Amino acid sequence: MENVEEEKMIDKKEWNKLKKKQNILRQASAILNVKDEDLPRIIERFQNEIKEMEKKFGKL
Amino acid sequence: MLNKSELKRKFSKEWEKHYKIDFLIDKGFKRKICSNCGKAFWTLDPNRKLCADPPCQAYDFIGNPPTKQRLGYIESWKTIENFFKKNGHKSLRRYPVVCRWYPLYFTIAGIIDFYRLEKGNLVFDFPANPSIVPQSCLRFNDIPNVGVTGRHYTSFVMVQQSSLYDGKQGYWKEKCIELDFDLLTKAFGINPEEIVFIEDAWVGPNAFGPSLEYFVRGLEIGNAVFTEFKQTNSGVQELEQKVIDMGAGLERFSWITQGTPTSYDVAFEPIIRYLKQQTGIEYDRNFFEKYSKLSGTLNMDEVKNMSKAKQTIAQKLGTTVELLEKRVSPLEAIYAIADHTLALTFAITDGMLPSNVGGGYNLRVILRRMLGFMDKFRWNLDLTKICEIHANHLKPIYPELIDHIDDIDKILEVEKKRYSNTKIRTQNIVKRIVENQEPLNEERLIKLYDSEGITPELVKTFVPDLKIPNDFYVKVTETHMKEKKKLKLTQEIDVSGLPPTKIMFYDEPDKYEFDAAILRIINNEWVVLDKTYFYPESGGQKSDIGFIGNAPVLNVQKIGNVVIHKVLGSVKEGEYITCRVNKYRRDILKKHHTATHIVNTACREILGQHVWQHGAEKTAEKARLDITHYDTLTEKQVQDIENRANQIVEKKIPIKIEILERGDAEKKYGFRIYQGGAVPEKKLRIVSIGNLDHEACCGLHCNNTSEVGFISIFKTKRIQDGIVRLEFASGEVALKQLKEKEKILKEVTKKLGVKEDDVPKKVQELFNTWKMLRKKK
Repeated sequence: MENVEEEKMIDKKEWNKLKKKQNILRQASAILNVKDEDLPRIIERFQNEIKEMEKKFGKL
Repeated sequence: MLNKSELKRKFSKEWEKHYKIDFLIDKGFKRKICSNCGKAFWTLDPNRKLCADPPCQAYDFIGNPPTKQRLGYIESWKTIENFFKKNGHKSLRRYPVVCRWYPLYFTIAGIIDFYRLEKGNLVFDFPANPSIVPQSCLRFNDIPNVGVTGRHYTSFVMVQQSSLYDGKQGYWKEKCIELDFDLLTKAFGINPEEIVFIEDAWVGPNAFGPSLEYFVRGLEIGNAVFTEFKQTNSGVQELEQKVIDMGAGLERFSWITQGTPTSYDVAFEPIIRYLKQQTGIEYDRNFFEKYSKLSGTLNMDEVKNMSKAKQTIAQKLGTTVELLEKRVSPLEAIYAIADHTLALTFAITDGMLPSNVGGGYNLRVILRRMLGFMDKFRWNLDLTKICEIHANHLKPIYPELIDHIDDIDKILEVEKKRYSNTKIRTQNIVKRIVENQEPLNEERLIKLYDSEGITPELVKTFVPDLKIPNDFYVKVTETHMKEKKKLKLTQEIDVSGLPPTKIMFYDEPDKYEFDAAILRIINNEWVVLDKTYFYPESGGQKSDIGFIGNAPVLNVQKIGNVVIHKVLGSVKEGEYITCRVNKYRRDILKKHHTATHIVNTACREILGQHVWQHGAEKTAEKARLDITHYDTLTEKQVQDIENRANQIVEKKIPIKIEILERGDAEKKYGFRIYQGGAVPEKKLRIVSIGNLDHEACCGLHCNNTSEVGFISIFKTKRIQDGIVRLEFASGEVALKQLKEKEKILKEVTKKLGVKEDDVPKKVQELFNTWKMLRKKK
């Protein structure tokens, strides 16, 4: 258990907020069919590729 | 150990010791040897030369029953029950057909109800003595005979008469035969001269004994087994506690009083009536009475040349094999459908689902066999409706069946869809095989069934000339009928000569520091203490970790009664040393274990009573629960399960732990306690969450449900046919995971420049733009 830090427990309201955020993340990850933890990196890759392609098409 | 025929010979030689029953002698029964088959039998009839076992005697009761009264299936049970109750027997409720207390998939005989394991050995455990039980049994080794012979079933009720005899309590052979004789003559009104007892023997897992089968007009009604010996290294030993194990098919009692063409006509009376109406098949009772007397000998295991046997029957009936088949096969199909729907009704009620693994395999075989018949005869039958008629018919004996019709309906729907998909696939697969001129032999047919779920009947619809082996379903099921894997009894680490470790964590679960003596160090890494507070890995719960002296404890296991601790570092034998259990990890494991029981309860409430635990693991990082369920879980179902689990958490329900005698635990809480499978102990540790859940469990648990903390289900997956896996965490582990998700979402919102709620929409837009530009490229 060396890697698990102690977390203080929270109330239902706070829990529900976190669950809502988890669900939003899950929906977004499902669109791209990626793991939650990979989503920021994949979004950045898409953004970069879109920029590059737009630039390329702009030149044409 | 002698085999059955050797035993029969031995017992027969010593017949005066094993089969001479004073009660029969007093009544005037004489021992004779059958002039046809050589079996020894007992009869009152001075003129009888043949035993009563077909083919030595035909089914003479068909159309000519030996009783004045005609009893229905339910009435027959009531007659038997009243008789035995009046004679001091306790009438027990049936045990589940899915055998969870002994390593078998299904309850295949009434006596299995009382089989238990203790340290790897079979013991008998009777909740009452003597007793009677209408035990519904499932057997899948006779599938081709079901519907054909008039007396073979996959689902039947065995009237189980039991008595444990030790010289003081219970009764033995004399009383057993007297009771069975009186049951036939007084309760059913059968003339004593009609009854024939045939000598036989029975061999069980580690006990055996002689038996007397009793017949009336060619029909075996029951078999009274006298389990009285066991084989030991020093030879055969008499058991201190002997067992009367009389099993009789309930349908046979009703059948003998009605003399109908088949036993299905009485056991499934309202179902057969419904099926005849629905299919519109022609039924000429006179013809079928004649046919049934002859077809009783059509046992596909015994008849070597089936087509020749059918030809002989056709000749005797003055018809051809083709015409006979045309007339008989639709009726055989409706008999089989009546039987198979009942097997499914019982199995699903008791928590087994059709699948391609384990016992579920057999259920899918019979389900597809039925669907094959429906295709062949172009019948559009409502299978759920048939299950419902069964449940209503059997309500006086088994009132629980009707409560499961909704579950049965859902499961049958899913299975029918799967079968339709298989049919579409079959066409392509068979077309390829035919084009490539590959042989469609038995081996190939079995492979097609095993790997693709394609029945030979389906193949035949595309290849009309295909010859389906009579024993096809025997062959495909035999590998799936074997006993479940035996419990692992041997270990590589030698703990011989060590005293049992004193287990302290149950009595003092909150103590984490203690002093103990090191008794032995095995293989330089496994430490044995005189006592321990470390929980060894068991019941799916990972072990505690901590320290013994300064040496870290990495793993803890239990072998027999000895707990061994795997350490890294040096400690010495004989040392008296201070040990510390990691409290933080223990707390999390406890929470995950209680959370698993809660999620299992929630699954059962949300998904249905067919849900059983198939497997579970509780680690410090997450908990995993595998359940029996027929389909992938929808997002809504997962959400509902999680919500219900957290409601249970919030209710702060006390967790009660009690040690009960196995029989008492089963009586008090039913067989749901065996969620983790058979428990080889006489006393069970029952963990209860209020009135919601009771399980036999050796794990450590929270004091109440609120201590678990909120539960978060983060992954579900259909891991195999009929099994769904849920992964979840609770308390601080769940919270840590959610906070990590929160961080990721924050990073995503920053990158996208939108509010949290708009993230999915924005990601979709981004993806669409990327796809559009990629196309242009």
